[in-house]
Amino acid sequence: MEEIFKKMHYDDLTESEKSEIAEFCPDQNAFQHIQNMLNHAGQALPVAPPISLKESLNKTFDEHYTPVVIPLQKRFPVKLAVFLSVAAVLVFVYLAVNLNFTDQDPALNLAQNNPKKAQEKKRSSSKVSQNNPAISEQQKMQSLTPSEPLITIPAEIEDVPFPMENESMNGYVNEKIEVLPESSAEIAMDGDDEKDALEESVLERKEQSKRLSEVRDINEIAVSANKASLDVKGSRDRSKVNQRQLLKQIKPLF
Amino acid sequence: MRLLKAEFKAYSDEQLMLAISHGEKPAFDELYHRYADKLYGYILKMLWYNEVRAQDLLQDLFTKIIRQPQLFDTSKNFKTWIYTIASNLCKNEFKRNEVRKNTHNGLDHRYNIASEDNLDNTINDLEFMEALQRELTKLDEKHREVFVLKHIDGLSIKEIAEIMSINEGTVKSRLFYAIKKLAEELKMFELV
Repeated sequence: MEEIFKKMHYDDLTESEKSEIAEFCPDQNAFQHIQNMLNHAGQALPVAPPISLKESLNKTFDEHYTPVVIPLQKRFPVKLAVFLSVAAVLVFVYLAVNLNFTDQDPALNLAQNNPKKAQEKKRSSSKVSQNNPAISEQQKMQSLTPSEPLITIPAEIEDVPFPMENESMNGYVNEKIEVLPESSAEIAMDGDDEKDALEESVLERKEQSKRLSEVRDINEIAVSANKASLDVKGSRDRSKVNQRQLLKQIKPLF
Repeated sequence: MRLLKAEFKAYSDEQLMLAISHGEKPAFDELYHRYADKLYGYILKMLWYNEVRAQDLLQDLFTKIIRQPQLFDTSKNFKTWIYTIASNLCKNEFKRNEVRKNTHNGLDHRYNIASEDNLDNTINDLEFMEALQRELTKLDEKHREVFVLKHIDGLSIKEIAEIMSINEGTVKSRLFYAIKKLAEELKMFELV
C-alpha cells in the first residue's frame, strides 16, 4: 500500500496491486486523486502551539531544576541564633569556671578579675562608713583584728615581752637563732637532767619565736590591708600594687 | 559547564534528553523546537481540533519530559517514545468521552470547513485541505491515528506499530481502510 501510491502512474502498477486497490481506485483519475490527497496531507501547514504554553513550560523547568535559594532575610536569623547560642554557652562556661568553682574569697576574685569594680565597691563601702560611724568602727575592727584568731598564742608566752615596738622582729629572731647554739653548748656541760630541761626550754623558745614572727607578719598584713582599704583617694596604680602585694602575702598563708 | 543553545542543535534527541535530565535548559528548548509543532498538530487532529484540550495535553507531555526525564530509556528511539506518550494521552482523552460531546464546538475556526454547496469541482488547495481535515475527524480514532502518523507526521509503519503497540500488518490494514474511506469521501475533488 505504501509503495503503490509512490508510483508515478496507474499503469506502472502490477496486476496484483491494481486488484488490491480496485475497490476505490479503478483508474488513472482516482489514482491521481489519492496521490494528491496524500501529498496535501503531508504538506499540511504546521500548527504552532501558543507562546504562553512555552512560557509556562519554561517556568516549570526553572522551578524544577533551579535550586531553592532561601532569601537573606530568612537565613540571617538562623545564623544569628546559632551565633548567640554559641556565645551564650561560652559565657556560661567562662562564668562557671571563674566564679562558681573557685574556692577563693569572692572579694579577692573580684579584685583579681575586675580591679575597677573592686575599687568602686570599696568606695561605696567607705561612703557608707563615713555616713555611719558605728559601721565604720565595726569595719575597722574587722579589718584590723580577725573575728577568730589565726594562731592562738599559748598562755606561757603571753608574759614574754613583745618586741614589736622597740626593735625589729627580724633582728630579734636572728638574735635568738644565733644565741641558740651557744646556750645549748653551755647547758651540755651540766648534768643530763638539766641538759634535757634546757633543750626543751630552748625548743619551746624556738617555737614561740616562730609563732611570734608569724603573728607579726599577720599584723603587718592586716595593717597594710587596712591602709589599702582606707586609701580610697589614692591613685589607681598604687592601689593595684597594694592589692597585688596583699594577695601575694596572703596566698602563702592560706 | 553550560552549553550554548546552538551547540545542542547537533545533538540527537536521545542526547538532548540526557542533557535535560542534568538541568540543561537549552537542551529542552531545542527538543521543544523539534517536536512541539508536530505533536501539537497530531494531538489537534486526534482531538477533533479542540485547541484547548490539545494545548493541555501538549503541556502535560512536555511537563512529563521536564519532571521525569529518567522515564525515557536513552537506548531507545525518542521519537517513538514521545509519540507513544502522546497517543496514550489522546486515548485517555477518548475514554473521558468529553471531547466527543464537544466535537463540533471544538473545531478550530481556522479549519472552518466549507459547506458542500459552496464546493465546485475545481481543485482548490485550501478547500481540499479543509475537506481533508473534516473527513479526518469523521474517521474513528484508530484509523485516524494511523493515517496522521503515516501521512502527516511521516512515521514509518514499524514506528507506528511500536507506538500503537500493534503489529505492522494491523497498521497496514488500518492505513488501507483510512485511505479508502478518505478517497471515497473526497471523490468530488477528482480531476475531471
